Amino acid sequence: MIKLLNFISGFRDALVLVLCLFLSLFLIILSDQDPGNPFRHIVYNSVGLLSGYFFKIDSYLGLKQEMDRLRHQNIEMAYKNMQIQDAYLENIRLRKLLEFKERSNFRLIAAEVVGFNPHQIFNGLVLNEGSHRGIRKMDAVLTAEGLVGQIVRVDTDNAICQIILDRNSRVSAQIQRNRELGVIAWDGGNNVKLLYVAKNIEVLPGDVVLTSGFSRIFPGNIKIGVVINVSKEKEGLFQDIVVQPAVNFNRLEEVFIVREENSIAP
Amino acid sequence: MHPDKKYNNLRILLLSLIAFIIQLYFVPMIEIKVWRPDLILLLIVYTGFYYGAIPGTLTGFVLGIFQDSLSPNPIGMTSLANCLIGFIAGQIKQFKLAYNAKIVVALLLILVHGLMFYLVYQFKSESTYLHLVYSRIFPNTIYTFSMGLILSVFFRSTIEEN
Repeated sequence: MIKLLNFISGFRDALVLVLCLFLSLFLIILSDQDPGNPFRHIVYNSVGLLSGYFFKIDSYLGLKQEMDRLRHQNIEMAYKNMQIQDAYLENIRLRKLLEFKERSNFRLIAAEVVGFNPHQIFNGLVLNEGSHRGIRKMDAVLTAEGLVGQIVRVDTDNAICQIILDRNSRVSAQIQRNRELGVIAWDGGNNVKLLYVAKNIEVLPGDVVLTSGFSRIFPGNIKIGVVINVSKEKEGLFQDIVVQPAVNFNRLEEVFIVREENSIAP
Repeated sequence: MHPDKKYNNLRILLLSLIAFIIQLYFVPMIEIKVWRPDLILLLIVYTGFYYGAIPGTLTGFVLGIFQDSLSPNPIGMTSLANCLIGFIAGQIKQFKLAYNAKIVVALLLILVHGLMFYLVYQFKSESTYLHLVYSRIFPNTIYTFSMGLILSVFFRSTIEEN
């Protein structure tokens, strides 16, 4: 028995490695079968708790609550303002008053950004609110400045938001001035591209790009960004349009998750 | 347990916690395009060099699990590459290399980590491995290594002492 133990202790390093590799492979297989791993829940909660200590210093004398209330008000007004601007342009173009055929009520859920994804392969944010506040997968996420992304994973107390600067992100969009449709995708840097806009369509630097509303994820008329560069290659059917996002992703502290509550037909 | 060893474990735990917090909250601030330095990987290499193969392997495994838990990737992807690197770094400790040689080995380990991680990741991605090599692995390796060089100035005494 002692000989066996001595023999094993000679390979202790390798045994630990094999055990860790085996566990890693086992967990990979397990994660594929069960995405709602309870371990993630524990880590999210721990990170949320840690962030509480880091970022709640500014709650001194109730200023935090006041700031939260004002930010909430600000985002609601910004969203309404976007809709008003859009309605105004529509009014000019059609020379008559139009009413939305359908208007939805949205509930905004405030959430703090408690962390950035530590991986280099997925651009996302960890938020400190989860399914207990009614947040669901594929809910849109925005700030007062504009669209941030969508929820891709939800836990009870936390959620992961995929931002529009992610290689797998696609958003149906339209140019505010001429209502031309396209698709927003990440350009690999700090900007996004507006894809599938034909060459014969006039697009100018400074044009505002909004969500089209032709999506089950993103409500219409949320600002995505502003066109900063347009080029037309000789080959190909479409223009190369570079859009600067309205949101500064390096300074995100708080976001709002959009929950559509019900639809009211006039 | 020997008191020194107990102290070592506490030190690794503390360093891991600090590295994880910095990686989570402060590294995104120094992101260039999509490239970020991996401080957790640097810690794993350091743990392997300084404390040996078993602490290196275990630190890599545990921190990898935490990294994976905060991402939509399957849990185990990062820990797989991390624990291998911790193990190799620990094995290299036996050779008692000079400071400069350790720096070169660290660069190779960072590169190998990227190659291994993205080798697994490519099955979950639409990108080809070659594309991942030049768009992610090389830039991340350079960035992580540069950060490692800066940090090695502060830890030079412990690296040389070993």
